[in-house]
Amino acid sequence: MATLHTLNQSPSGSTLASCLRCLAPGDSLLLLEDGVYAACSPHVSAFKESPCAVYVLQADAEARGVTGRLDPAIETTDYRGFVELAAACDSVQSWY
Amino acid sequence: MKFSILVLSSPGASQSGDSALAFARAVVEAGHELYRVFFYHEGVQHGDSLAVPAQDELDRQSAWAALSEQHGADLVLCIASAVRRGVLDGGEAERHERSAVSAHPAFELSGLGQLVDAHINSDRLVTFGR
Repeated sequence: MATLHTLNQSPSGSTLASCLRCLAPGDSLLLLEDGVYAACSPHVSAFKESPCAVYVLQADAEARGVTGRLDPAIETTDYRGFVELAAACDSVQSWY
Repeated sequence: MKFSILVLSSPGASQSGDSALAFARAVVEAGHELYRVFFYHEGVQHGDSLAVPAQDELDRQSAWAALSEQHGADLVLCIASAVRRGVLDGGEAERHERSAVSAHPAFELSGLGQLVDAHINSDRLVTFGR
């Protein structure tokens, strides 16, 4: 049972840590809004041991001027991709 | 596939409501059905027709109303959240003896049962928090 997790909070808060504890193999994680900062170093190291695919919403990264700082291991996507990820997983868990 | 959306933040207070709107548009553009959008807590302010957005800002309320009209999605405001924030339809204005109706006609005031129903009858429920 795969879950799409979404995270819209900056990694400076505790939401990212809570989310990381609940990721299971086969899950996906989409970073959006202030969550995109988690795709930049040094925060991105949190995902190195993560068992799931991590995506970042391109438009939100652009809005924050961090597209050049995104870790190359993290895939960018758009809202169309967000819908596809939600459809491909069995459920969606939002972290906010 | 049927999608429903839960919106928890007021328009403009955070990016979350705008993300919900962009997601909703992408759902219908992908050919999926948008079954219901449930506005809860501060989210009910999306349905306040007396609020006037700044001219250089996106008019989120009209955008939701247009999406509902074009694609048939239910826009539901949690009745308890709405009434305590002064978002009243005709029935609630009369029941609580208030002089104004403030809910936009594209939005319906109803109970949490509508959120439960959305969860049961949709394939995916996506929450947009604060």
